[in-house]
Order: sequence, then structure tokens, then C-alpha cells
Amino acid sequence: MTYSELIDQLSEELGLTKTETKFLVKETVSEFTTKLGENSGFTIPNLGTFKARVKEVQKVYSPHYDKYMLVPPKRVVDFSAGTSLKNKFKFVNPDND
Amino acid sequence: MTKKTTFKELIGEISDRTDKSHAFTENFMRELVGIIEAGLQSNGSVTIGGFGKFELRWMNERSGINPQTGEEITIPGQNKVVFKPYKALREHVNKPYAQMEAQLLDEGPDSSTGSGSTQSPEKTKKEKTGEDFISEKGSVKDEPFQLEADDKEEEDIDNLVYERPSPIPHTERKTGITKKNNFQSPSPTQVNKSKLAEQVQEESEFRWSYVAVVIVILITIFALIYFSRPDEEPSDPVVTQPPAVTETEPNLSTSNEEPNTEPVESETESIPVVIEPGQSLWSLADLHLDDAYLWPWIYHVNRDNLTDPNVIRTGNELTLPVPSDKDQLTEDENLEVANGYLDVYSWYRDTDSENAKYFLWGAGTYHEDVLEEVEGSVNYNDLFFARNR
Repeated sequence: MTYSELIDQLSEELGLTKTETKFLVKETVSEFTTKLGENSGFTIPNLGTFKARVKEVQKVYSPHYDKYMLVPPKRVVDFSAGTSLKNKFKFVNPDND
Repeated sequence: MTKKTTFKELIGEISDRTDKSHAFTENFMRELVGIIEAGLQSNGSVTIGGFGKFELRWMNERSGINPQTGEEITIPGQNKVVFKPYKALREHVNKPYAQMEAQLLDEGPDSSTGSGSTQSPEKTKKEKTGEDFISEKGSVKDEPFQLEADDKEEEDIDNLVYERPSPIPHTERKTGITKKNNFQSPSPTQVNKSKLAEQVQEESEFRWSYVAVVIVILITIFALIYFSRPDEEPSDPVVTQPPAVTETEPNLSTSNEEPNTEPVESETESIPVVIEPGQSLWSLADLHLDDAYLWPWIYHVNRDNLTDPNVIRTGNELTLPVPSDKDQLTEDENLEVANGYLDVYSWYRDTDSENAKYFLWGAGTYHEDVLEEVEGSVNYNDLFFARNR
């Protein structure tokens, strides 16, 4: 589902204009990003949990330099789906497959 | 550790942002989740611009072990709901670590110290966590994120959520070591190695360029000294004479242009003079005899001490002939000058110079008898030239 499709459906459900829904989605997303940027996770009911996790320093081998390298720590976003969502799709094939 | 925001707080903040009621925002979120579900149902993927993409990923059937009983079980093939953050989100979240770059270690896979990546998981647990890095770096201002760009459609990004980090792409790294590196490697041995590698690389990079610059500077200084040194005792004679050929017809009768710059003793026939730097027979004749064209006279007088008429050595002594009357040379004096020209001619003749004949001719201009005298012993062509010029 593309973004525009999402906006279309959402605006229909909410009974709002597309511009309005766009604005709302944008603000929501910004809020999510801010929270994750602050290293604080959150849960959306029926969807799942978003967390920010720090990946530790790792020693990797670089074939280009034929040497080991230390990869610096990095903060990434983790998502784990909620149980209801998981179960809903576990064994279900999506319609377009 | 990581903080946690409750759903209520989240709703509160969003409603503040959008200027809507809590109830409205909550409903909105519910609807949004519903749409995402529907999207996954119909398409298997849902994209939210500027945020990320929800996807269903198929995991193949695999065997596993029941952790309680220890028996082998088959885990059936199934879908997994997966979220891929997009660039804006990724970069914002990684902000505190953005400047850090990877460090090359000085060990290859064959060295005894490198034991492969199996070490790293155990090591990393004892190491400082990322949290400590943040506190070390000081406060990083967490600005509220605001989507600036317009809604983005599907972006194609690397699959990064559940994968190990890949090495820094080649294009980003010219040298193995970066300088803006406040990332400390945690364990002591690694500290030494990495710092050492960094230092060695930095120093060697720096050192050679500095050395090269210093060498160039020294060379230029030496060159300047060498060339600007005054000629106190030159190894080679510096003085050369202007060839007589470049001159137009020597005008002998009107040779005396300048008044006497130096009182010349007319009683004695000759005076000794020490050659100074930059002087030549030409310049000496000009200075002391008031006629540069009389230089062969000086040459003649000093014939025993001179060879090449173009060359006189600084510091040596020359005997200068003194004319009785500067304005008019006596016949004898003219003869002397002519003889001087003859001497010069002979020298040039011996060196097979093309200009030799001019000097023979010159001799003739000062005293005709000279040409008669040398008739037998001198090159016929030169004599012909000298007589008929």
C-alpha cells in the first residue's frame, strides 16, 4: 500500500480532507521520530513497540583492507509487532501473492 | 537505559502538536493502525513517508529445539511483520553517533592476535555501552523532529534492522584512519592497538610531508647563498670580453670621448694595476687609456701573463701602458697597439675562430706596416680581408 493510498483510506475513515490527514500523519510521524531520537520507546496498541537500541562496537573483517575494523556504536530503531498483529498474519498469505 | 513513553503521553504530545483533542488523536491512531493492518492484508507492505515501511516477510520452515523439553521441533514457515525505518528516521536516531567512523586495526586475519568475530559478542558485553558514549560526549540537543520534506513515496533502503553492520563503503574512505574520531575502543588491548594504528598512520602521514617541505626550504637557502656569494676567490675566471666583431668600424680618430677621469702619470711608461672583479681588458683600456679599443695594447704588454684575451683573473696584476698623450697616440704607440691586435689575431687564429681576421684588420688600421711584416707568416685569406675591408 503506497503512502497516497494510505492517506486516501485514512481520510475516508476519518471523514477529513486529504490535506488534513496528511498533516496529521506527518505530525504523528514526527512525534515518533522525536521520541526515538530521545532514546525513548513507545507502544502502539495492536501495532507493536518501537524502541531505540544501541548497537555495540563490533570487530569486523574488511576484505578490502584485509584487516579487522572496529565499527563504531550506532543507534537503530527496533520494532516488534504486537501479538494480535503477529498472529493475524502468521500463517496468512497476503491477498496479492 | 532506554526510556519508555506511555501511549497516553504519546497521544498527549500529538494532540498538542496537531491542536486536536485527546479523544480525536486516540481515534486517529486507532484508525491508522487499522489502515496499516488492512494494507498488510492486501499488499503485504505499507509505506509511511518520512517514517518507514511495514512489511510482511516470509520465514521458511526451519528446525528448532523446544527449550523446555529439549526435543527437536519444526518451526513452520510463517510471516513476520517487519518495520524498515527510512533515512530521515535512521539519521535522526543515530545523531549522537553520526560523527563516529570505523577504525582500521593493525591486525589481519592471519595474525595471532585476531581471533575473529567470535570474540566480539563476549567482549562487547563487558565494554562500555553506547550510553556511556553519550554521556561522555556531553549533551546532544534532542530537537523535536519535524518532517521538513514533502511526503516521500517508497524509498529503497538497505535492509538494516536485523543485520550486522557492513563495513564503511570504499567511497567514503580514502585513508584507513579518520581524524575526527572521538570514538574510544573499549578494551585495553584494543585501545592500544587502535590508538597505535591511528597514531602511526597520522604521524607517518604528517611526518613525510613536513620533512619534504623542510628539505625544499634548505635547498633554496643553499642555492641563494651559493649564487649570491661575492666573488672573493672564484674558482673560474668570470671575466669575458665583448667580441670585437659586434662593433661597427672602430673609429680611431674620434676615440677620445670622455674627459680624463683619472690622472695618468705621463712620465712613466707603464703602471701596475690590480685587476678588480668585473673588469676586463676592454674596461681597463676604457678606464685608463680613455679608449676601450686600445685594449689589445694592454694585452700585448702583458702577453707573457695572459693567454686568452677574453680572460683576466681578479687579483692578478697587469702592467698598463701609459700613452704620452691620450688624445693622440704616437706612431710607436700605434705600433704597439697594432702588435697587440696581432697578438689577439694570432690567438684567435690558433683557436680557429672565425673572427680572427677582424683582428688582423684591426692591427692594420693602427699601423699599416704590421700587415707588411706578417705577410709571409699569416693566413692569406685573412690578410686579403684585412687589406681590402
